[in-house]
Amino acid sequence: MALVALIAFTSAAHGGLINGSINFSSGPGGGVVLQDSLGNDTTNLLAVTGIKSWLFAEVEEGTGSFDGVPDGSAVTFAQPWVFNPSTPKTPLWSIAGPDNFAFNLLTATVVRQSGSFLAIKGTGTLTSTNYSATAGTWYFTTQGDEAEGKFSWSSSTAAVPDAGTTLALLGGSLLGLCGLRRKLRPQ
Amino acid sequence: MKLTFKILSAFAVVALGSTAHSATIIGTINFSSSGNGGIILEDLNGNITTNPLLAVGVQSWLFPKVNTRSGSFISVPSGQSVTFSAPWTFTPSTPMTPLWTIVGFGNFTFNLASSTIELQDNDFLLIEGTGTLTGDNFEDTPGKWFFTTQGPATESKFSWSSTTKAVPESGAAMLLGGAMLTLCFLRRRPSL
Repeated sequence: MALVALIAFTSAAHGGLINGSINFSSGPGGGVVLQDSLGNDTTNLLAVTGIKSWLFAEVEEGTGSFDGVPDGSAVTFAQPWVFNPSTPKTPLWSIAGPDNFAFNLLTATVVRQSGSFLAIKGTGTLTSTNYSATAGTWYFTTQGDEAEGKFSWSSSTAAVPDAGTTLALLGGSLLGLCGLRRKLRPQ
Repeated sequence: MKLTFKILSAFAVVALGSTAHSATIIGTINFSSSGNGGIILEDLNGNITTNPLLAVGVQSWLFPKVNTRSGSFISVPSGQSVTFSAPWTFTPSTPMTPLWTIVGFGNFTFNLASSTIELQDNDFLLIEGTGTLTGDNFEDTPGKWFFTTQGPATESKFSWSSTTKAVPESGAAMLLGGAMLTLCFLRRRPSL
């Protein structure tokens, strides 16, 4: 048990969990093209069930583990992304770079959808070549009317504070070490 | 009767002439922040807050720019910077003249008259406003403003996006319609 705990703890410390958040929006001429349940373009927010295409998505700001991602970096989004019904997307977005951050969307919930607004909250997993997979939350909003067929939008993806896992692993490791010490103690 | 028609036709011509001379603004213009941009929200005491639920206003707008545009706004280049007035208090609803301005390319501005919060919680802030769009060579035109942001803040900044839309002026359309009908009726009437 002590050995397992030790290995688990070492592994977590090595990869390190992702922390912080990263914000996106569109660059000049960019936006999202929305689609209805038949997959046709729509300019009616109330009829939207997915995003057909993301144009010129870019990083606004990153913090924590995302601090090294340059502002203005291009973001690749999977498309189309259907949020009604909630549809997993692996990955929903990815950023090419030293860390290769990506977000795998598991579920999406429409928080508000009216003729003027669309707000969506999602849960999933943040991944990176240099970090351990970490739970994350995705927030997306768009509003109003299209211009040139595109809606302006903004989003945030946040690493979910690692409430229990690491602490549990650390506790387990310490207990294991304690047990080992007792076992190895000279009689 | 003849006098009535003459008055009506004169009114119609004036109305038509006025509409043709200086048109109302049409179309939509969309904004968001560029890299390293965002907004800083403030609470009731004017302090920076990172919780959308506590926000009563936008303390500063960093690097807002034009995303896409249509109609009368087509002369404004995508990526053009936009100047926002700050702070903008939305709780309580506060007029802002102007809320935003674009220097050059028609010198468009939007004067916010009132705003309504559609949704405000720990994650989201959605606001709708009404006001007036102005621009060189255009009549002042009623407009609507839609604004959204969402959590969490990154380095105290929230990403956001907005739409400002010219609202078709039904009054002008009715005036134009009335004028056309009158002219049509005048033309059909046999000369006495």
